[in-house]
Amino acid sequence: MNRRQVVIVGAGPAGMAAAVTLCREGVSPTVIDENPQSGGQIYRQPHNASQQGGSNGVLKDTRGNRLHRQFQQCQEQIEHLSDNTVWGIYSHRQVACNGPDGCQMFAADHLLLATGAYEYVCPFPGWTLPGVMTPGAAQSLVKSHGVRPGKTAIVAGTGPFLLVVALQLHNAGVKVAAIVETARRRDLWRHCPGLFRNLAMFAEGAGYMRKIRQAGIPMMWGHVVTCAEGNDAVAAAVVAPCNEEGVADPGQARRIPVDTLCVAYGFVPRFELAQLAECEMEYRDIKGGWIPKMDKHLATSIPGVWVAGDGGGVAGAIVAELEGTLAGLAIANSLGRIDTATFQNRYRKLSRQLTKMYRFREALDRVYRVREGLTKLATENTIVCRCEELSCAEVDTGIDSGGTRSRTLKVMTRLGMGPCQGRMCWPAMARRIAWKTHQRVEEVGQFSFRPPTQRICLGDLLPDNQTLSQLTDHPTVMEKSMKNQMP
Amino acid sequence: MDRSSQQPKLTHDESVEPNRVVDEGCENEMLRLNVPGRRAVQFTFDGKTINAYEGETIAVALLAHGQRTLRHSERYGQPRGLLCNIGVCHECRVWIEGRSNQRACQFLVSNGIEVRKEHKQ
Repeated sequence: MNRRQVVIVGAGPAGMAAAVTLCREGVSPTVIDENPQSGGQIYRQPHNASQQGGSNGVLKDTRGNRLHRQFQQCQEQIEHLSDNTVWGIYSHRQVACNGPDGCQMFAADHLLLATGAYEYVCPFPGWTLPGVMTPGAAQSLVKSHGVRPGKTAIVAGTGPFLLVVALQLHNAGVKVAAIVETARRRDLWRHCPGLFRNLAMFAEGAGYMRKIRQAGIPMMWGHVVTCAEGNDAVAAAVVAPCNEEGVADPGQARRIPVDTLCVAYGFVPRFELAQLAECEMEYRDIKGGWIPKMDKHLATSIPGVWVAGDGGGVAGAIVAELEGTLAGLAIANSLGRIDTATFQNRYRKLSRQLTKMYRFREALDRVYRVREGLTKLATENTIVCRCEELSCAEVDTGIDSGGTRSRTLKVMTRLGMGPCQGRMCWPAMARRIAWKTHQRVEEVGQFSFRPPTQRICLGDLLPDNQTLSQLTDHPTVMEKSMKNQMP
Repeated sequence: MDRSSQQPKLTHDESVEPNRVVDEGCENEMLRLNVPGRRAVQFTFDGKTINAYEGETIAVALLAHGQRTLRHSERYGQPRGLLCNIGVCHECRVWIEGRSNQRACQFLVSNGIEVRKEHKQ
């Protein structure tokens, strides 16, 4: 077992900021990240430096540059394990990961989970067709690879992120037929006081709206994509107006021919590792779902386990960076690298910035909330669990015959037991159970993750030069992990 | 102030045939923007040669060629393609160099590798 002082999972804005902060206080952290390069999803870097500033400027990204530079400067001090997937957390902060060098396990004195979030897509007829992807997927195609997802696209769902992606697609030469936004324009006015709390962010949003208008992209407020049509790939999207609760009016539906449909309704925090670390969890709809309970210094209920960024509640890259810095300082403080007076002083400054952002974010999250009507988009034959290929009717039958909790429904129907481990289907299905059985979503219960949370090859768990048949003679990571899991 | 009820003008062009880009093979490079300074590599997908650039993932390289279907689903044989592009949804899983169920969106291309669809109809 390799012992490490600090292990950070995730090299996005939160993980990078925490690593930089720790390095400055003389702590050398280990950073484990699934991607080939640091930056996470939002500050994703092009493959090599020569690509930056490509001929048409689509690969340029200035916002994360400062953080990338700081992280680069600390490279000597940081043990950066890129291409490594964390697939399990065992008791006493043991982190199991898998990468090019095979499986490794680290025992961390302090574990910071900066796992980020992924986009929430709720099932609707035709959503499994190739050509339906998340706005984030389309963004990384044009931004990091200079590849257009298609020729004509609709960007749909909810949230200011749609504007950013639509504009990037437009600039890359994709014809954006429309932005389909579930929120109504009047929702923006209603939450104006909160949005005005951060004028800089408000102005940025307004700037995007202006550019969307200038680009001639139709903005459809209060609309929802009800269906994707096509045989082998998307050929058209059906768009209909919806009411305040997101219930579509099929009578006014229109068909728009497109070859790409980007759709997502906000983000879901990646809480699976916090759950495996046995942190106490809570359900916060406005923050995207289940998140670990944290104190003001971002410590969870388990000593030595900390959470920063979207994984502890979706709030965006700027908050993630601030939280990463805060978690880094808090860890440095508990390691005795900075005294408590200095820590409190710096905490107060960060806290002021964070409070301002949280207030703005709260108003934003109320405008762009996930509306209940979206749960009703799926029809009888819609595949709701992509991996196990369960139809909505099959899941409904499960719910009707007693599967009114996450766990029971999983056992009854195999919902969420495929390769994605329920990440894609479960947030929507928890809402569906809640809707059908008149419960609150938190009453449906958490979806329980089990290691390995990501697919790994059994052979990767073996030490070098060993085969599966030799397993019994040598205690391996797998054996140890199985021992931990056996009741 | 509520203008949401107004009918937005749609700008789509009827002359665009959305499905035309599917499965057209190597000559279809129309989706790739010109980014200089990249090293070209080649790999095969179901025996077909695919030109790509270093640093691209399998999913990106295939999409640039209009190859949107990456597998057919196990139970109903439905076409599936890239969804999340960050390794969460596992929809893009393909067979790569003897290893099945690899995520095409996370796997970088390299010269000469062999990639196949997981299930064939």
